[in-house]
Amino acid sequence: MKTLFTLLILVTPFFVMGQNTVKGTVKSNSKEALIGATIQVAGKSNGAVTGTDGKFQLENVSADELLIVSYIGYKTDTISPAFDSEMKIILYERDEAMKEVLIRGRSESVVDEAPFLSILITEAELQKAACCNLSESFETNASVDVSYADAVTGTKMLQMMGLDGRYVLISREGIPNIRGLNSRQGLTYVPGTWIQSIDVGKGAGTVINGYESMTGQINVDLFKPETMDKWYLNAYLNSFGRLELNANHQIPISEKWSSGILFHASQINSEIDRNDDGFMDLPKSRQINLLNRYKYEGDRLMAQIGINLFLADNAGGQLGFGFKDNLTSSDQFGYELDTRKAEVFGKIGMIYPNKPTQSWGLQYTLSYQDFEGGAGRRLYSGIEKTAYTNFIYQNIIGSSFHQYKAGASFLYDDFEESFDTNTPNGLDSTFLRTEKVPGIFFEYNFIPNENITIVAGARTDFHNLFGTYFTPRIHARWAFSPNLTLRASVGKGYRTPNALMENSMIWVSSREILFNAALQPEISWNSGMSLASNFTIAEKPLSIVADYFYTNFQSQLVYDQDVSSELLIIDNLQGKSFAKSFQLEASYPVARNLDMKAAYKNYQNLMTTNGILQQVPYQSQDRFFLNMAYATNFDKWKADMTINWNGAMRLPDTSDSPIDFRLPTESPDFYLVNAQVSRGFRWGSIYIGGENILNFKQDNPIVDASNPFGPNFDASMTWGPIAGRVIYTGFRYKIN
Amino acid sequence: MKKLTLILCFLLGGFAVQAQVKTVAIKTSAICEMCKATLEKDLTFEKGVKSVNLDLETKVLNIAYLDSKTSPDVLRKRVTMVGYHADSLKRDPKAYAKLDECCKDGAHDNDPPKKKKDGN
Repeated sequence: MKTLFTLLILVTPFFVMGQNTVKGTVKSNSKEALIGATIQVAGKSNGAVTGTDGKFQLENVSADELLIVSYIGYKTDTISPAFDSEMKIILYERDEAMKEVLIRGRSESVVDEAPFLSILITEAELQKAACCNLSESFETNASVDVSYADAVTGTKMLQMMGLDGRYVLISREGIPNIRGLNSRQGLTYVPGTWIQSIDVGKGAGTVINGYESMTGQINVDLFKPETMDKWYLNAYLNSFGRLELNANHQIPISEKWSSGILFHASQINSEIDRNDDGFMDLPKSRQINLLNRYKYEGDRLMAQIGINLFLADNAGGQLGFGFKDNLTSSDQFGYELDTRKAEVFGKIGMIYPNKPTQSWGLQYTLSYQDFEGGAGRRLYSGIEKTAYTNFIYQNIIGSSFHQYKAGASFLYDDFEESFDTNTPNGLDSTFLRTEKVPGIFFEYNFIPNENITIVAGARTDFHNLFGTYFTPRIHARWAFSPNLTLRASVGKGYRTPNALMENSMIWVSSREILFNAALQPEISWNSGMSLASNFTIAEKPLSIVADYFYTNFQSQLVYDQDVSSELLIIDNLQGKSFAKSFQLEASYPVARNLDMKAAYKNYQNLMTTNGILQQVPYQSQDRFFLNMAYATNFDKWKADMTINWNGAMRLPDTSDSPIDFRLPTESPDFYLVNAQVSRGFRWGSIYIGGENILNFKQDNPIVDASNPFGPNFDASMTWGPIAGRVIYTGFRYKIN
Repeated sequence: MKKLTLILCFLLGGFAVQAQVKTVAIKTSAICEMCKATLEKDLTFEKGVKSVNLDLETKVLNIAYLDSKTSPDVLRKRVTMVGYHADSLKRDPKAYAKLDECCKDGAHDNDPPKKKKDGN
């Protein structure tokens, strides 16, 4: 790959010694002129930026100097200058470099030039674990952990740095997407086959996308009209009876307009109860999901508009509870969640042909989503209406060493929720909240040379309910040598918790719920450092990344199960809460076709519950991760295996329960093993795989499962997998 | 563990076919890395092909194949269907038209001298 395809094509090299002027054009591998690409003389302060048609001119260059050509999203190239004729420089797209004819590239890697510690997960990496949606897209990634919400709803939750995924801003192409009432379930509404790539950023994110990226930012890029296959069909079936059909279709309209459709339909109709507790291990479900996007690409103006519609139903709980059964009148303990969403989203952007460094863009989304459901006798309904827009202006100050982005955003978020425990003294409330948050931001990038980047940003948001949020963030990157990069970041973050939807503890247990305080925003400071290094051992690249992050909560909504096994106390943090996370990750191609990646993670997450500063429950302090990836040329055969070891987790204090219902103070440690084999063809591929191959299950995940309406019932004390092993198979078919 | 061994068997099964491996060298009209990748990728997925390598210096495509499943003539024909000449067989014009610009005739005539042996 590397040297061969990053090759530059320069015309007739009559090298003239001495100082001279270099002229040329920079184009992409798809022959489009790149406007705003930077050309810099290595080690010097002079540089140039390409203008209209990708043209540039650079004075005072000597023949023995090197030019560094870079453009966002493309591989940086270093080349010798050519003087007497125009240079023609071709840059290759980073994640799609030689997309169709890729021999074998590393499919997941730290983005070298990024000021943030950022890991790009490409389509090839995503295909290593074929199931099913965004919550399952991180199986081969060491930075994101997946945990199990409870023993009824089948929800998998993300964790980063050992903290709940709700502290990570999950955006879709830069627009905050999985948040609000969707923050727990929303991952399951992003089908895996729609995802082109995922960028996992650790540490407080950029201020441009808002104040909610408290511990990190995960940005998901879906297939866009111009990068889609004409047809991409996928069918998937697993041993739980989950059947999925996915179809992506590209519709070229005219030279400037294009369109793409993403479609997903899935269902689980069978009832799985492998642990014989009378409860379905995961609910039955059905989902239909459609996204259609139109894109306009003019000479100066670029615009896109898309619509996303979905319908999803879940029915779980005790065996026999169906989609149409009524929770309150049924004899069974049922679980239901029906949701519908309609969203319109888009972007408009403008570039200036005579001022190539200048551009502006406007992102927007408008959505309506409702939820109807509950568990047992506890009933929930919620409606969220969101409008969000973000305007970003980008320019340089004097030279490309000083770049800035500035802009303004507005968030309108309207919540209408009701929750009724249907018990005489229990919670029965309606929660109404409307957030209106105008904000402004400024982010300055100082890039004195290719080895140093400093990003200093701040935003001020005027929250109608909680006052002014001031969010400063700073990121720095320093490449000591080509093989050693140090990064550091500090940043503040905020978010509004949504207690009823964020945490299924409220739903699936008989614990009495005590809301102790008025709603407050969660506020944290996150700081961290990382060191990424590359070595060559036996002529092969060994990459080692070590990172350490510290998150300190000034304010947090705490779900306290420690006071009593009969109570769930939801209160603002009284005392301290912080998380220290350390990760050491190494990857190395052990053989010609075999890559290996290993990671050790240590989380010290302490939070004050029951008045004591103690380890956050359901969270391993130590984790080990090992991934082995085997592939023959052009992925004709591919085999992958991932082993996760989860250390013991603290469990909530249940010492006041009847003796039969007490839990140990700690969970056992356990292994999870996933593996997949796929065979490629000219038309696509077929795959077969298994998750949780060792068939590990949490023993008795539901306390007093036989008496779900009794006082001891609790399905929320979950630390491990519920359903055990699943085997799956499927195919992918592409037509171009 | 049982499933694991099963998967391994499945994997190994693909390679356990008993047949004679032969090699053939086909002179092509490939001119660049992109051509090399395109040809090697396509032939990798051709029935009976065990390994493929194109030498850009000589433009010769070396293929190891199972003679029970394919033949040099079939492989040459396939090369023309990808858009390249194969020994004396002419390339398919439709396939050639679809090739990336950098794989078309003359696309690399102006390359720097380290790549091509141009006189200047």
